[in-house]
Amino acid sequence: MGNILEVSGLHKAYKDFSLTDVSFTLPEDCITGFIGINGAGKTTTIRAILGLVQKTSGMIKIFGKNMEDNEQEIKNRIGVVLDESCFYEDLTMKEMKSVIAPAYSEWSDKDYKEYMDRFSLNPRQKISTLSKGMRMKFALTLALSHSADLLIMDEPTSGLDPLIRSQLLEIMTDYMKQGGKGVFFSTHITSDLEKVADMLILINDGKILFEQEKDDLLDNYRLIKGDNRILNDENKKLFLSLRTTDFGFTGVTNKVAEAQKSIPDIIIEKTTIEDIMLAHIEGGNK
Amino acid sequence: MLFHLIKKDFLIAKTHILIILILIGVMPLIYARLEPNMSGFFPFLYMVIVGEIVLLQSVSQLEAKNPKAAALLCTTPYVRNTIVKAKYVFFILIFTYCYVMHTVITLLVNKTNLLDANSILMVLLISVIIYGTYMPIEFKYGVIKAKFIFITTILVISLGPMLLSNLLPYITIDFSLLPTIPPGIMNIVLALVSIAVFAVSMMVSLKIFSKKEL
Repeated sequence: MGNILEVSGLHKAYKDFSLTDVSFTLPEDCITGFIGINGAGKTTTIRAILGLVQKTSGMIKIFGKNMEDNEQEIKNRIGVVLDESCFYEDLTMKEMKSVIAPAYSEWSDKDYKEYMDRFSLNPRQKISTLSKGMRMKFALTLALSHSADLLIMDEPTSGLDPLIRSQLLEIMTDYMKQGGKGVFFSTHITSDLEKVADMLILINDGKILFEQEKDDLLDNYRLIKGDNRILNDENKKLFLSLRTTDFGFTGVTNKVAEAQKSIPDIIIEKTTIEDIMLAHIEGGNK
Repeated sequence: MLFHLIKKDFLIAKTHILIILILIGVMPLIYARLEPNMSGFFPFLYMVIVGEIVLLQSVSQLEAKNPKAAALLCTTPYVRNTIVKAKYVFFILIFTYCYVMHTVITLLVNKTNLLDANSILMVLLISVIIYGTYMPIEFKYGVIKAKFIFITTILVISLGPMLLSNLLPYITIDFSLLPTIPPGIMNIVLALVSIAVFAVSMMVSLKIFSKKEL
Protein backbone atom coordinates (compact mmCIF):
# COMPACT_ATOMS: atom_id res chain seq x y z
CA MET A 1 0.00 0.00 0.00
CA GLY A 2 1.73 3.19 -1.20
CA ASN A 3 1.34 6.72 -0.02
CA ILE A 4 -1.06 8.96 -1.92
CA LEU A 5 0.05 12.17 -0.22
CA GLU A 6 3.30 13.02 1.54
CA VAL A 7 3.84 16.30 3.31
CA SER A 8 7.21 16.92 4.90
CA GLY A 9 8.65 19.89 6.72
CA LEU A 10 5.87 22.22 5.64
CA HIS A 11 6.29 25.73 6.99
CA LYS A 12 4.04 28.67 6.34
CA ALA A 13 4.42 31.85 8.32
CA TYR A 14 1.85 34.61 8.77
CA LYS A 15 2.10 37.59 11.10
CA ASP A 16 0.11 35.97 13.89
CA PHE A 17 0.10 32.28 12.95
CA SER A 18 2.41 29.75 11.42
CA LEU A 19 2.51 26.15 10.33
CA THR A 20 5.64 24.62 11.81
CA ASP A 21 7.30 21.54 10.37
CA VAL A 22 4.03 19.90 9.33
CA SER A 23 4.78 16.37 8.17
CA PHE A 24 2.45 13.45 7.55
CA THR A 25 1.57 10.81 4.98
CA LEU A 26 -1.70 9.52 3.62
CA PRO A 27 -1.73 5.84 2.74
CA GLU A 28 -3.73 4.56 -0.20
CA ASP A 29 -7.18 3.05 0.53
CA CYS A 30 -7.58 5.09 3.70
CA ILE A 31 -9.94 7.79 4.81
CA THR A 32 -7.76 10.15 6.80
CA GLY A 33 -9.35 12.60 9.18
CA PHE A 34 -7.49 15.83 9.73
CA ILE A 35 -8.67 17.10 13.08
CA GLY A 36 -8.14 20.15 15.20
CA ILE A 37 -10.01 23.04 16.71
CA ASN A 38 -10.87 26.16 14.73
CA GLY A 39 -7.73 28.10 13.85
CA ALA A 40 -5.45 25.11 14.40
CA GLY A 41 -4.09 25.25 10.85
CA LYS A 42 -6.24 22.68 9.01
CA THR A 43 -7.37 25.02 6.24
CA THR A 44 -3.93 26.58 5.83
CA THR A 45 -2.38 23.12 5.50
CA ILE A 46 -4.94 22.08 2.89
CA ARG A 47 -4.47 25.35 1.00
CA ALA A 48 -0.71 24.90 1.05
CA ILE A 49 -1.08 21.34 -0.27
CA LEU A 50 -3.27 22.62 -3.10
CA GLY A 51 -0.93 25.51 -3.86
CA LEU A 52 -3.53 28.14 -2.97
CA VAL A 53 -1.10 29.71 -0.50
CA GLN A 54 2.64 29.83 -0.96
CA LYS A 55 4.50 27.67 1.50
CA THR A 56 7.57 29.14 3.15
CA SER A 57 9.34 25.78 2.86
CA GLY A 58 8.61 22.06 2.74
CA MET A 59 7.86 19.35 0.25
CA ILE A 60 4.50 18.12 -0.99
CA LYS A 61 4.23 14.96 -3.02
CA ILE A 62 0.99 13.59 -4.38
CA PHE A 63 0.90 10.19 -6.12
CA GLY A 64 4.68 10.14 -5.59
CA LYS A 65 5.20 13.28 -7.67
CA ASN A 66 6.32 16.70 -6.61
CA MET A 67 3.33 19.06 -6.60
CA GLU A 68 5.23 22.07 -7.92
CA ASP A 69 6.62 20.27 -10.97
CA ASN A 70 3.51 18.26 -11.85
CA GLU A 71 0.69 20.55 -10.77
CA GLN A 72 -1.60 20.12 -13.76
CA GLU A 73 -1.18 16.33 -13.91
CA ILE A 74 -1.78 15.97 -10.16
CA LYS A 75 -4.79 18.30 -10.09
CA ASN A 76 -6.35 16.26 -12.86
CA ARG A 77 -6.44 13.35 -10.42
CA ILE A 78 -7.74 15.07 -7.29
CA GLY A 79 -11.21 16.19 -6.33
CA VAL A 80 -11.53 19.11 -3.97
CA VAL A 81 -14.32 20.34 -1.72
CA LEU A 82 -13.44 23.64 -0.05
CA ASP A 83 -14.86 24.88 3.23
CA GLU A 84 -16.97 27.73 1.91
CA SER A 85 -18.90 28.50 -1.20
CA CYS A 86 -16.34 28.86 -3.95
CA PHE A 87 -18.73 29.12 -6.85
CA TYR A 88 -19.82 31.98 -9.05
CA GLU A 89 -23.12 32.67 -7.35
CA ASP A 90 -24.88 34.08 -10.41
CA LEU A 91 -24.28 31.00 -12.51
CA THR A 92 -26.55 28.00 -12.65
CA MET A 93 -25.08 24.63 -11.67
CA LYS A 94 -25.12 23.67 -15.36
CA GLU A 95 -23.08 26.75 -16.26
CA MET A 96 -20.64 26.20 -13.41
CA LYS A 97 -20.17 22.61 -14.52
CA SER A 98 -19.53 23.80 -18.10
CA VAL A 99 -16.62 25.87 -16.75
CA ILE A 100 -15.12 23.20 -14.47
CA ALA A 101 -15.66 20.01 -16.52
CA PRO A 102 -13.41 20.87 -19.51
CA ALA A 103 -10.43 21.23 -17.16
CA TYR A 104 -10.40 17.46 -16.52
CA SER A 105 -9.30 14.87 -19.04
CA GLU A 106 -11.37 12.15 -17.35
CA TRP A 107 -14.59 14.08 -16.83
CA SER A 108 -17.65 11.82 -16.89
CA ASP A 109 -21.00 13.36 -17.71
CA LYS A 110 -22.59 10.04 -16.74
CA ASP A 111 -21.13 10.22 -13.21
CA TYR A 112 -22.08 13.89 -12.98
CA LYS A 113 -25.69 13.14 -13.89
CA GLU A 114 -25.86 10.22 -11.46
CA TYR A 115 -24.65 12.35 -8.54
CA MET A 116 -26.94 15.24 -9.49
CA ASP A 117 -29.88 12.80 -9.52
CA ARG A 118 -28.76 11.11 -6.30
CA PHE A 119 -28.59 14.49 -4.56
CA SER A 120 -31.82 15.71 -6.24
CA LEU A 121 -30.06 18.77 -7.65
CA ASN A 122 -31.61 20.65 -10.54
CA PRO A 123 -28.81 21.74 -12.90
CA ARG A 124 -30.78 24.80 -14.00
CA GLN A 125 -30.97 26.18 -10.48
CA LYS A 126 -28.87 29.25 -9.71
CA ILE A 127 -26.10 28.64 -7.21
CA SER A 128 -27.08 31.71 -5.18
CA THR A 129 -30.41 30.02 -4.37
CA LEU A 130 -28.83 26.81 -3.00
CA SER A 131 -28.75 25.98 0.68
CA LYS A 132 -25.42 25.22 2.39
CA GLY A 133 -26.14 21.50 2.19
CA MET A 134 -27.00 21.66 -1.50
CA ARG A 135 -23.82 23.63 -2.24
CA MET A 136 -21.76 21.00 -0.49
CA LYS A 137 -23.54 18.28 -2.49
CA PHE A 138 -22.84 20.16 -5.72
CA ALA A 139 -19.19 20.65 -4.76
CA LEU A 140 -18.97 16.93 -4.05
CA THR A 141 -20.62 16.13 -7.40
CA LEU A 142 -17.98 18.18 -9.22
CA ALA A 143 -15.20 16.61 -7.17
CA LEU A 144 -16.38 13.06 -7.87
CA SER A 145 -17.22 13.29 -11.57
CA HIS A 146 -13.72 13.05 -13.02
CA SER A 147 -12.46 9.74 -11.60
CA ALA A 148 -10.37 11.46 -8.94
CA ASP A 149 -7.93 9.22 -7.06
CA LEU A 150 -7.68 11.54 -4.07
CA LEU A 151 -10.46 13.51 -2.49
CA ILE A 152 -9.43 16.50 -0.39
CA MET A 153 -12.19 18.09 1.63
CA ASP A 154 -11.95 21.04 3.97
CA GLU A 155 -14.64 20.99 6.67
CA PRO A 156 -17.28 19.55 4.34
CA THR A 157 -19.65 18.66 7.17
CA SER A 158 -19.44 21.95 9.02
CA GLY A 159 -22.87 23.53 9.44
CA LEU A 160 -24.73 20.64 7.84
CA ASP A 161 -27.65 18.77 9.34
CA PRO A 162 -27.12 15.15 10.47
CA LEU A 163 -28.97 13.67 7.49
CA ILE A 164 -26.78 15.40 4.90
CA ARG A 165 -23.68 14.58 6.94
CA SER A 166 -24.63 10.93 6.99
CA GLN A 167 -25.22 11.00 3.19
CA LEU A 168 -21.77 12.52 2.73
CA LEU A 169 -20.15 9.80 4.83
CA GLU A 170 -22.02 7.16 2.84
CA ILE A 171 -20.70 8.67 -0.43
CA MET A 172 -17.17 8.62 0.97
CA THR A 173 -17.48 4.96 1.91
CA ASP A 174 -18.82 4.11 -1.57
CA TYR A 175 -15.99 6.06 -3.15
CA MET A 176 -13.38 4.10 -1.19
CA LYS A 177 -14.89 0.78 -2.33
CA GLN A 178 -13.48 1.42 -5.83
CA GLY A 179 -9.99 0.74 -4.45
CA GLY A 180 -6.74 2.62 -4.92
CA LYS A 181 -8.29 5.85 -3.69
CA GLY A 182 -7.74 8.13 -0.72
CA VAL A 183 -9.70 10.73 1.21
CA PHE A 184 -8.22 13.56 3.23
CA PHE A 185 -10.96 15.14 5.24
CA SER A 186 -10.55 18.01 7.68
CA THR A 187 -13.13 18.54 10.37
CA HIS A 188 -13.68 19.64 13.91
CA ILE A 189 -16.79 17.45 14.14
CA THR A 190 -14.99 14.33 15.26
CA SER A 191 -18.11 12.19 15.61
CA ASP A 192 -18.21 11.94 11.79
CA LEU A 193 -14.75 10.45 11.79
CA GLU A 194 -15.63 7.77 14.34
CA LYS A 195 -17.85 6.27 11.62
CA VAL A 196 -15.59 6.41 8.57
CA ALA A 197 -11.96 7.35 9.26
CA ASP A 198 -9.10 4.86 9.12
CA MET A 199 -6.33 7.28 10.08
CA LEU A 200 -6.34 10.43 12.17
CA ILE A 201 -3.99 13.38 12.15
CA LEU A 202 -4.29 16.01 14.87
CA ILE A 203 -3.02 19.51 14.32
CA ASN A 204 -2.90 22.25 16.92
CA ASP A 205 -1.38 25.69 16.77
CA GLY A 206 0.22 24.87 13.42
CA LYS A 207 1.95 21.71 14.64
CA ILE A 208 1.07 18.05 14.11
CA LEU A 209 0.43 16.41 17.48
CA PHE A 210 -0.16 12.88 16.27
CA GLU A 211 -0.75 10.74 13.20
CA GLN A 212 -2.24 7.38 14.07
CA GLU A 213 -4.69 4.71 13.03
CA LYS A 214 -8.10 5.46 14.49
CA ASP A 215 -8.61 1.97 15.94
CA ASP A 216 -5.19 2.00 17.62
CA LEU A 217 -5.91 5.40 19.03
CA LEU A 218 -9.28 4.37 20.43
CA ASP A 219 -7.75 1.16 21.85
CA ASN A 220 -4.84 2.94 23.52
CA TYR A 221 -6.66 5.78 25.22
CA ARG A 222 -9.13 5.55 28.07
CA LEU A 223 -11.21 7.93 30.09
CA ILE A 224 -10.58 7.44 33.80
CA LYS A 225 -12.88 8.63 36.56
CA GLY A 226 -12.41 8.54 40.28
CA ASP A 227 -12.43 10.31 43.58
CA ASN A 228 -10.25 13.41 43.96
CA ARG A 229 -8.72 12.02 47.18
CA ILE A 230 -6.87 9.26 45.31
CA LEU A 231 -5.03 11.74 43.10
CA ASN A 232 -1.48 12.71 43.96
CA ASP A 233 1.37 14.46 42.18
CA GLU A 234 2.78 11.18 40.96
CA ASN A 235 -0.36 9.63 39.41
CA LYS A 236 -1.45 12.97 37.94
CA LYS A 237 1.49 12.61 35.52
CA LEU A 238 -0.23 9.61 33.91
CA PHE A 239 -2.92 11.80 32.43
CA LEU A 240 -2.83 13.82 29.23
CA SER A 241 -5.58 15.99 30.59
CA LEU A 242 -7.29 16.03 33.94
CA ARG A 243 -10.43 17.77 35.12
CA THR A 244 -11.51 17.88 38.72
CA THR A 245 -14.86 18.89 40.16
CA ASP A 246 -16.37 18.54 43.64
CA PHE A 247 -17.68 15.13 42.56
CA GLY A 248 -14.36 13.69 41.38
CA PHE A 249 -11.91 13.70 38.53
CA THR A 250 -12.03 12.75 34.85
CA GLY A 251 -8.82 12.25 32.95
CA VAL A 252 -7.65 10.89 29.61
CA THR A 253 -4.64 8.59 29.55
CA ASN A 254 -2.79 6.26 27.22
CA LYS A 255 -1.06 4.60 30.17
CA VAL A 256 -4.05 2.54 31.17
CA ALA A 257 -2.20 -0.40 32.71
CA GLU A 258 -0.06 1.89 34.85
CA ALA A 259 -3.08 3.87 35.95
CA GLN A 260 -4.92 0.67 36.90
CA LYS A 261 -1.96 -0.45 38.96
CA SER A 262 -1.22 2.78 40.76
CA ILE A 263 -4.68 4.31 41.26
CA PRO A 264 -7.23 2.24 43.17
CA ASP A 265 -11.00 2.35 42.70
CA ILE A 266 -11.13 3.97 39.31
CA ILE A 267 -13.73 3.65 36.57
CA ILE A 268 -12.27 3.06 33.12
CA GLU A 269 -14.37 4.02 30.11
CA LYS A 270 -13.84 4.12 26.37
CA THR A 271 -12.90 7.47 24.92
CA THR A 272 -14.14 9.31 21.88
CA ILE A 273 -11.90 10.97 19.29
CA GLU A 274 -13.04 14.28 20.69
CA ASP A 275 -11.86 13.31 24.20
CA ILE A 276 -8.44 12.37 22.81
CA MET A 277 -8.21 15.49 20.68
CA LEU A 278 -9.11 17.79 23.56
CA ALA A 279 -6.79 15.92 25.93
CA HIS A 280 -3.85 16.47 23.61
CA ILE A 281 -4.70 20.11 23.10
CA GLU A 282 -5.31 20.80 26.79
CA GLY A 283 -2.26 18.72 27.71
CA GLY A 284 -0.14 20.74 25.36
CA ASN A 285 -1.50 23.99 26.80
CA LYS A 286 -0.74 23.03 30.42
CA MET B 1 -8.70 25.30 -21.59
CA LEU B 2 -8.24 29.00 -22.26
CA PHE B 3 -11.47 29.04 -24.23
CA HIS B 4 -13.47 27.74 -21.27
CA LEU B 5 -12.04 30.35 -18.92
CA ILE B 6 -12.96 33.08 -21.39
CA LYS B 7 -16.39 31.50 -21.69
CA LYS B 8 -16.58 31.73 -17.87
CA ASP B 9 -16.01 35.50 -18.09
CA PHE B 10 -18.82 35.77 -20.62
CA LEU B 11 -21.11 33.62 -18.46
CA ILE B 12 -20.63 35.59 -15.26
CA ALA B 13 -21.08 38.96 -16.95
CA LYS B 14 -23.30 38.02 -19.86
CA THR B 15 -25.78 40.91 -19.56
CA HIS B 16 -23.05 43.52 -19.06
CA ILE B 17 -20.96 42.12 -21.88
CA LEU B 18 -23.90 42.03 -24.28
CA ILE B 19 -24.81 45.66 -23.59
CA ILE B 20 -21.20 46.87 -23.88
CA LEU B 21 -20.61 44.90 -27.08
CA ILE B 22 -23.73 46.44 -28.62
CA LEU B 23 -22.64 49.93 -27.51
CA ILE B 24 -19.17 49.43 -28.95
CA GLY B 25 -20.70 48.07 -32.12
CA VAL B 26 -22.87 51.14 -32.72
CA MET B 27 -20.07 53.63 -31.87
CA PRO B 28 -18.77 53.91 -35.47
CA LEU B 29 -22.35 54.58 -36.59
CA ILE B 30 -22.71 57.44 -34.08
CA TYR B 31 -19.38 58.94 -35.14
CA ALA B 32 -20.28 58.62 -38.83
CA ARG B 33 -23.50 60.56 -38.16
CA LEU B 34 -22.00 63.27 -35.91
CA GLU B 35 -18.60 63.72 -37.62
CA PRO B 36 -18.82 62.24 -41.13
CA ASN B 37 -15.39 63.60 -42.10
CA MET B 38 -13.53 62.37 -39.03
CA SER B 39 -10.89 59.73 -39.78
CA GLY B 40 -11.52 56.24 -38.47
CA PHE B 41 -8.60 56.38 -36.04
CA PHE B 42 -10.25 58.15 -33.09
CA PRO B 43 -13.58 56.26 -33.14
CA PHE B 44 -11.61 53.01 -33.34
CA LEU B 45 -9.28 54.06 -30.50
CA TYR B 46 -12.29 55.01 -28.39
CA MET B 47 -14.06 51.73 -29.17
CA VAL B 48 -11.04 49.69 -28.20
CA ILE B 49 -10.25 51.54 -24.97
CA VAL B 50 -13.86 51.61 -23.79
CA GLY B 51 -14.34 48.00 -24.85
CA GLU B 52 -11.23 46.65 -23.20
CA ILE B 53 -11.32 48.54 -19.93
CA VAL B 54 -15.08 48.68 -19.31
CA LEU B 55 -15.55 45.04 -20.21
CA LEU B 56 -12.61 43.92 -18.14
CA GLN B 57 -13.75 45.94 -15.14
CA SER B 58 -17.32 44.59 -15.44
CA VAL B 59 -16.07 41.01 -15.46
CA SER B 60 -13.56 41.67 -12.67
CA GLN B 61 -16.14 43.36 -10.45
CA LEU B 62 -18.51 40.42 -10.82
CA GLU B 63 -15.64 38.01 -10.16
CA ALA B 64 -14.74 40.01 -7.05
CA LYS B 65 -18.24 39.25 -5.70
CA ASN B 66 -17.11 35.61 -5.43
CA PRO B 67 -13.47 35.96 -4.38
CA LYS B 68 -13.10 32.28 -3.49
CA ALA B 69 -14.10 31.09 -6.95
CA ALA B 70 -10.57 31.72 -8.23
CA ALA B 71 -9.36 29.37 -5.49
CA LEU B 72 -11.70 26.64 -6.73
CA LEU B 73 -10.49 27.14 -10.30
CA CYS B 74 -6.90 26.81 -9.09
CA THR B 75 -7.67 23.45 -7.49
CA THR B 76 -8.53 22.13 -10.97
CA PRO B 77 -6.03 21.53 -13.79
CA TYR B 78 -6.63 25.09 -14.99
CA VAL B 79 -3.82 26.24 -12.66
CA ARG B 80 -2.81 29.87 -12.18
CA ASN B 81 -0.99 30.44 -15.47
CA THR B 82 -4.05 29.53 -17.51
CA ILE B 83 -6.20 31.98 -15.57
CA VAL B 84 -3.79 34.86 -16.29
CA LYS B 85 -3.36 33.92 -19.94
CA ALA B 86 -7.14 33.83 -20.41
CA LYS B 87 -7.33 37.50 -19.38
CA TYR B 88 -4.83 38.41 -22.10
CA VAL B 89 -6.61 36.34 -24.74
CA PHE B 90 -9.74 38.21 -23.69
CA PHE B 91 -7.95 41.43 -24.72
CA ILE B 92 -7.12 40.03 -28.16
CA LEU B 93 -10.72 38.90 -28.67
CA ILE B 94 -12.17 42.30 -27.77
CA PHE B 95 -9.64 44.08 -30.00
CA THR B 96 -10.56 41.78 -32.88
CA TYR B 97 -14.27 42.34 -32.24
CA CYS B 98 -13.76 46.14 -32.28
CA TYR B 99 -11.78 45.94 -35.51
CA VAL B 100 -14.33 43.71 -37.23
CA MET B 101 -17.28 45.88 -36.12
CA HIS B 102 -15.48 49.07 -37.14
CA THR B 103 -14.60 47.67 -40.56
CA VAL B 104 -18.06 46.24 -41.25
CA ILE B 105 -19.84 49.45 -40.28
CA THR B 106 -17.35 51.67 -42.15
CA LEU B 107 -17.81 49.56 -45.26
CA LEU B 108 -21.55 50.07 -45.01
CA VAL B 109 -21.47 53.79 -44.16
CA ASN B 110 -18.31 55.50 -45.44
CA LYS B 111 -15.66 53.43 -47.15
CA THR B 112 -13.15 56.31 -47.16
CA ASN B 113 -12.77 55.98 -43.38
CA LEU B 114 -11.42 52.44 -43.51
CA LEU B 115 -8.46 52.01 -41.20
CA ASP B 116 -4.98 51.63 -42.61
CA ALA B 117 -2.42 49.31 -41.06
CA ASN B 118 -0.65 52.21 -39.33
CA SER B 119 -3.83 53.35 -37.53
CA ILE B 120 -4.68 49.80 -36.46
CA LEU B 121 -1.20 49.24 -35.07
CA MET B 122 -1.12 52.65 -33.38
CA VAL B 123 -4.45 51.86 -31.63
CA LEU B 124 -3.12 48.42 -30.76
CA LEU B 125 -0.04 49.92 -29.15
CA ILE B 126 -2.01 52.52 -27.15
CA SER B 127 -4.52 49.95 -25.96
CA VAL B 128 -1.82 47.40 -25.15
CA ILE B 129 -0.01 50.02 -23.05
CA ILE B 130 -3.22 50.86 -21.15
CA TYR B 131 -4.38 47.25 -20.71
CA GLY B 132 -0.85 46.03 -20.14
CA THR B 133 -0.37 48.51 -17.32
CA TYR B 134 -3.80 47.96 -15.83
CA MET B 135 -3.77 44.13 -15.71
CA PRO B 136 -0.77 43.61 -13.39
CA ILE B 137 -2.17 46.31 -11.06
CA GLU B 138 -5.49 44.48 -10.94
CA PHE B 139 -3.82 41.13 -10.28
CA LYS B 140 -1.78 42.72 -7.51
CA TYR B 141 -4.32 44.94 -5.78
CA GLY B 142 -7.74 43.71 -6.93
CA VAL B 143 -10.33 45.44 -9.05
CA ILE B 144 -11.43 48.15 -6.59
CA LYS B 145 -7.93 49.51 -5.96
CA ALA B 146 -6.95 49.09 -9.62
CA LYS B 147 -10.00 51.09 -10.66
CA PHE B 148 -9.06 53.86 -8.20
CA ILE B 149 -5.46 53.92 -9.47
CA PHE B 150 -6.74 53.95 -13.07
CA ILE B 151 -9.12 56.87 -12.51
CA THR B 152 -6.44 58.84 -10.64
CA THR B 153 -4.02 58.21 -13.51
CA ILE B 154 -6.57 59.42 -16.06
CA LEU B 155 -7.09 62.59 -14.02
CA VAL B 156 -3.36 63.19 -13.87
CA ILE B 157 -2.97 62.51 -17.58
CA SER B 158 -5.82 64.91 -18.36
CA LEU B 159 -3.62 67.61 -16.82
CA GLY B 160 -0.97 66.55 -19.33
CA PRO B 161 -1.53 69.16 -22.05
CA MET B 162 -1.13 71.98 -19.50
CA LEU B 163 2.01 70.42 -18.00
CA LEU B 164 3.35 69.61 -21.44
CA SER B 165 2.93 73.21 -22.68
CA ASN B 166 5.00 74.37 -19.71
CA LEU B 167 7.63 71.70 -20.28
CA LEU B 168 7.71 72.02 -24.07
CA PRO B 169 10.49 74.60 -24.25
CA TYR B 170 12.76 72.12 -22.48
CA ILE B 171 11.82 69.06 -24.56
CA THR B 172 14.26 68.50 -27.35
CA ILE B 173 12.84 65.40 -29.09
CA ASP B 174 12.89 65.94 -32.84
CA PHE B 175 9.44 64.75 -34.01
CA SER B 176 10.21 65.90 -37.54
CA LEU B 177 12.07 62.62 -38.02
CA LEU B 178 8.90 60.54 -37.64
CA PRO B 179 7.42 61.20 -41.11
CA THR B 180 10.74 60.24 -42.68
CA ILE B 181 10.52 56.69 -41.28
CA PRO B 182 9.14 54.44 -44.04
CA PRO B 183 5.56 53.32 -43.17
CA GLY B 184 6.51 49.66 -43.48
CA ILE B 185 9.29 50.03 -40.91
CA MET B 186 7.04 52.14 -38.69
CA ASN B 187 4.38 49.42 -38.75
CA ILE B 188 6.90 46.74 -37.89
CA VAL B 189 8.17 48.85 -34.98
CA LEU B 190 4.61 49.46 -33.73
CA ALA B 191 3.78 45.76 -33.96
CA LEU B 192 6.98 44.69 -32.23
CA VAL B 193 6.61 47.23 -29.42
CA SER B 194 2.98 46.15 -28.93
CA ILE B 195 4.01 42.49 -28.73
CA ALA B 196 6.84 43.36 -26.33
CA VAL B 197 4.57 45.40 -24.01
CA PHE B 198 1.92 42.66 -24.14
CA ALA B 199 4.47 39.95 -23.33
CA VAL B 200 6.12 41.89 -20.51
CA SER B 201 2.74 42.75 -18.97
CA MET B 202 1.66 39.10 -19.14
CA MET B 203 4.89 37.93 -17.54
CA VAL B 204 4.52 40.47 -14.72
CA SER B 205 0.89 39.38 -14.17
CA LEU B 206 1.92 35.71 -14.19
CA LYS B 207 4.55 36.42 -11.56
CA ILE B 208 2.16 38.44 -9.38
CA PHE B 209 -0.66 35.89 -9.61
CA SER B 210 1.67 32.95 -8.98
CA LYS B 211 2.38 34.35 -5.51
CA LYS B 212 -1.14 35.52 -4.70
CA GLU B 213 -2.83 33.94 -1.68
CA LEU B 214 -6.19 32.57 -2.79
